[in-house]
Amino acid sequence: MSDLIVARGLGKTFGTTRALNDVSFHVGQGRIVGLIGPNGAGKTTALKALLGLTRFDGELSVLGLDPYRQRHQLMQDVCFIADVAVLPRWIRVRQLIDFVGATHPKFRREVCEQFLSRSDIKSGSRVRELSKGMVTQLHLALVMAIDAKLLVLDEPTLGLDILMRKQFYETLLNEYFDEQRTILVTTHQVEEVEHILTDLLFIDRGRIVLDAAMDEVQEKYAQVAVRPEHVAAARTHKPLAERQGLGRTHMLFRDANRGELERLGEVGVPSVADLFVATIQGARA
Amino acid sequence: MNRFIWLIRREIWEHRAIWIAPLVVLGCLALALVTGNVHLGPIGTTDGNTGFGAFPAEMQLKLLVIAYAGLALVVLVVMGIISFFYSLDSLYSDRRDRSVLFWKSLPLSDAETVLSKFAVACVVIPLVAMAGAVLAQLLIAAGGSARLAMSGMSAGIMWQPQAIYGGITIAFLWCFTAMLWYAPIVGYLMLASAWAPRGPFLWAVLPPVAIWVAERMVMGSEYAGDFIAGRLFGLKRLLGTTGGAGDLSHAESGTGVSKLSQLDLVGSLKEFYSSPDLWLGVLAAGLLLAAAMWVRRYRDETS
Repeated sequence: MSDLIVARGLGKTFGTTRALNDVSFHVGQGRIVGLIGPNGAGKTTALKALLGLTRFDGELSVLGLDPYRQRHQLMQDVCFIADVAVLPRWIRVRQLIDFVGATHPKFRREVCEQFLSRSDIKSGSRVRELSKGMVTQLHLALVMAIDAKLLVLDEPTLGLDILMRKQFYETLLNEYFDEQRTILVTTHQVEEVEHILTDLLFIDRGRIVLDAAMDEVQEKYAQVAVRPEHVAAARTHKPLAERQGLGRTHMLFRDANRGELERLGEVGVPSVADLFVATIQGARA
Repeated sequence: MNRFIWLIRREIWEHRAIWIAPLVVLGCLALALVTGNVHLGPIGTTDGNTGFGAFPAEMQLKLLVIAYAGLALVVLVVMGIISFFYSLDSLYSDRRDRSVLFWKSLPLSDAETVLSKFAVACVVIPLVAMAGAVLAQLLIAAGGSARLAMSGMSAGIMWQPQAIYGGITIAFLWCFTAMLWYAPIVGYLMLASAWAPRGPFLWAVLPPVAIWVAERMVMGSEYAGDFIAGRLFGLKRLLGTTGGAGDLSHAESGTGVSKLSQLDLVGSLKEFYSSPDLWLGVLAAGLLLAAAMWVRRYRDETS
């Protein structure tokens, strides 16, 4: 498995704030990586550096290219959706498909048309006449028809209703993703992406605070619904986080002995959201 | 190359004024001709000795070409206005509607994008203007010959090859010259369009005005003002040294007509092309375009 993205000591400063501070990570082929962080953590800055849209310090290689200097070449194999609602409003659907078809060597028109045939989007409509959900479908149809090696999604489902969001990720996973492709996604709605992710990258205040594969997370971390009589005993195992539930105290443990945890209560896999909150709080403490 | 043509097509899809405006102008002209409200200058007048029919054939031809040139001038001014607003909007509209990141997600270089927009402002729009001028000329020829026929004169003069070709040649040469002359202004407007955080019109217009006013107040001189005005209105030298746009309006009087007939439209073109101003401007256009490409490429859209 080769590394598609290699970042070493990535930095970016806006005025006096460090948006990215010594960020290092790598992303292999065939992974779906969730870049997750609170607002202003540096997610978008990191993505923009990857896409060659912003200058940065440090070393960064995407598909073996320097994204800042070789952006134009990079875009042959990288696709991105910065925000689904940003297709030009004046253009007609047909014109948009013609234009992308003529300018993108890896665009497969029939794939795009097949996606669109399942929606209510008419090829003669202008983008401004479409509903927000339709614009998303259109953008997704365009992007999924491009045979790209890396797809970058920055908050792709912002402003969409829950049905659209679910459909978006289902289509992405079932009809687009395969071992040849890599997807990097940032989102606030972690619960919606956690079942499709293979890797997690948590970022906070410009630093990577967690970098792990999902199977690793399932091995290392455990969420225990601790029965009231075991709370004191459980605390001796140094939980990362604690949360009150109905008659149980939910505690998140890292690298704890399974057998011991099972005596305290029901052991489960922590949700990405719980892990996220615990990690960020831990990093800031 | 094929991609470049698609980039240009995209511009024409987005900026429909490029072909709608000349159609509207031509439509108005046709309407005026049909309703008979148009004043065709020396051609339309049949009364007195200043009438078109009273001149020798050679003079008639020359007057026709000059009338066509005047027509081309009107079309040129309309296209100049379109080109001005187009250039100002060219690298700003997709930043305003935030679709710039979509365009940047396609494997197109920013240099190609900027060049395609420059080509629209400096080649496509002048070509449309030229076609518009020729069409307008044919409309006038048709309307003029109908008038002449109504006054009982031969309309053949309107369709003389020299008159038709003369008019077309003038339209072509002027469009081409205007393109070269105004290229640095297009480059400047595109740079403002690429750079302006918002409201590119003010960003483009205020600096030269500010420099002009500041120079006047501080030094009492008008070098900047002269420079700007020279570039904006320098094209009027094309009308020759004896004539000018103002003289065309006085063409009805006998002296005006004789003055007009002395206009040397081709000779003034030659002089124009041998002046360094034109070629320095082309050089400046290249530099301004390079700057616009640089800003387009490296401008950080979210900061």
